[in-house]
Amino acid sequence: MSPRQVLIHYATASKPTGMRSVVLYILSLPLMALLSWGILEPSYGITPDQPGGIPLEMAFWLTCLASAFLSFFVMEVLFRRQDIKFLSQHPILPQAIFALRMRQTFFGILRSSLPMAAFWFPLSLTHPMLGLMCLGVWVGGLCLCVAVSAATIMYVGQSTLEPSTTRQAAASKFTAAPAIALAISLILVLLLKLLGEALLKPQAMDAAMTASGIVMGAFAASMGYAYVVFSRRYYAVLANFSDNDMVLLNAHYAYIDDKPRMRMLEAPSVRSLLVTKDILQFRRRHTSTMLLMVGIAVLGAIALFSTPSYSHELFLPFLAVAPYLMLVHPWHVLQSERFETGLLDTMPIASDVIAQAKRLACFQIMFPYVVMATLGLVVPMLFHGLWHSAILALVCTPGLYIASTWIMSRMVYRFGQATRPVTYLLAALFVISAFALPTSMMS
Amino acid sequence: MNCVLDVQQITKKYGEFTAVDGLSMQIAPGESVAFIGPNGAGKSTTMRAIAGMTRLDAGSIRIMGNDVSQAPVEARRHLGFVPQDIALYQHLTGEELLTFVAKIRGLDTQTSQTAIDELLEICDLGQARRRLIREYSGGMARKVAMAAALVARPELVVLDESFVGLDPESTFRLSQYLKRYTQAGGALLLSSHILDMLEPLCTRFFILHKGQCVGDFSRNDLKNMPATPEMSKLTALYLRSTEQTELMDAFAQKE
Repeated sequence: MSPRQVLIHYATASKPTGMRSVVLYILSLPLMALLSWGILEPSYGITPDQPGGIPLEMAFWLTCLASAFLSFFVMEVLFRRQDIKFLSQHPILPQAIFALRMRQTFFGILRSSLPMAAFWFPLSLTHPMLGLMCLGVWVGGLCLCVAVSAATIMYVGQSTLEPSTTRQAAASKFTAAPAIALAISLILVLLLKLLGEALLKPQAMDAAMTASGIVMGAFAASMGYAYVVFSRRYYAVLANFSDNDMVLLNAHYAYIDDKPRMRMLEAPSVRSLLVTKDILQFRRRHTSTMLLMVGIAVLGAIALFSTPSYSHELFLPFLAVAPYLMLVHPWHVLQSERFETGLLDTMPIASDVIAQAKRLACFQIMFPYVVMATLGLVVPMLFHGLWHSAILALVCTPGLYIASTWIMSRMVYRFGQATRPVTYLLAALFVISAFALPTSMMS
Repeated sequence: MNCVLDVQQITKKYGEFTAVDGLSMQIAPGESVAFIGPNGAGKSTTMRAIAGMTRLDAGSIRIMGNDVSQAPVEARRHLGFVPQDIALYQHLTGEELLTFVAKIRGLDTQTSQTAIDELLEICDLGQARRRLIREYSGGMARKVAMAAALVARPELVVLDESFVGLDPESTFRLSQYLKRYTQAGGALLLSSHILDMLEPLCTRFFILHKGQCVGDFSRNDLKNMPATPEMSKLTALYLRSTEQTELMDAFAQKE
């Protein structure tokens, strides 16, 4: 095996896919198809002027939403992941690391395309070309986002190597890089959507050719630029990135003794202890937060019941989750307690067990609220005969809550104590989606 | 090119704070250098700079003649590094990780297998070789990280606080292995606060304080020092070099 093959072989082996992930992935396929039935009206809003109708608009917004995460993710995999620290200690050509990371990222996009294909499957039964376009916008948009993000981060990284760049300026540049990449990506995704629309109109073939040229040119140029700069300056940029990313304190290292850490078989019992501790702590210290959570749910339900009819109910699950992401999510409370006490950091417990326990505690604490919020949305919808929207609310309200908790638990490793701004960003994205989706429904 | 490591006037600042201030040092083949200093003296920053993992504000570092920032891959070819905050592939077994590193560094199968077997034996990881690293204890993970740095026997090995949390048997066996490694021409730079371990292992003692070199002593210098009953020679040397004479007086009074 060549060094590149060795790298790919072992890096892939180090990220095993568990049986649970496979089952969830397979289960997601019918769920996505069901969700699609719930969201999309049979007419799809297709007109001669807008041959893409609602589905293409929705594909565009979903791609934008995914791009927002992907632009950060690219920076993560190139510079911040734990295994990069290990790989960077060895004589590995930057080109090999670039190839590995791009391979993993593009493979991830491909994996996500199957559930999305399931999502567009009901549409494809009646409009196969449109279904293909929607999938094309998703896959093409995300690939563009990866290429543009890699090129932007390398451009920004290279610019921080100039001697005149101060540490503060370099840190600001690295922080801004994913946002810049996202802005460029969104323009290109919009172009991709217009390309999709043009391809559905036979008379607009010239415009389609021009748009496809621009999109493919942007992809090739971004990948080429990223590859060249990566090959030449990767280690220098990585060193600079590590300096500016954060200052790590490893004070507790000296106190870790050689007692065996948590074995896999022992983990569940310790995890349940941690969950019990978290729930007790939360209930005893944060009664007012609990009341606020119930208050939000009750007020929301009363508002919905008192509304005689609502035309754009699609946004309601997003709005049901967003306020308590910002205000009362137990993750913030539990996480701040962890930082305050620091007790668990000194104990022989694997950090992933602590995170799992915290996630479970969040789910248990929030379970009554999620049930109330979901029923508060679903019952009035069924009452008004909006069964499509009811299915959507039934899936989306708990789904968004679970997804947001999961994202927050993953963010803590990346952003440490800065999870709260990330949560606000997440909530903002939910609110934007809440308004963007009905707009796309209307168009 | 006589020296394995050539550090020239390096400076590293974090905002207003100067972590390393115009430091220079050379390490020749076969030398075993202890890097000693109080917390925050700049040891880890210097070692990370040697590994090319931090950007310097001034100065240069060469490993076997290769500038770390200009020729990073070539410099890394001659370097084995274990940072203070170790990062490993958690879902590989110890043996798989070492095989991976050996293959990346171009060792043939037979040589790598011999080296891996030897290192796993020395690290007392023979029984755990087929267990996932995520199931290892902190000390076991640290030992496998050291084995990964040593498996291809690079010309220079840099160990940053790598003996923290190791049991006495492993510490002894690894010390013996490192001795053999330097006797065979390898160069070692090792930071630790366990002075009693460093004294018999190292041939040179480089003392860092506030980012600057405040002492560079050979083992002969240490031998020629007058003995004190209350503390080891290296401890006395360290306290004197880092201007902690009041602590020495306190020791003496206690005795």
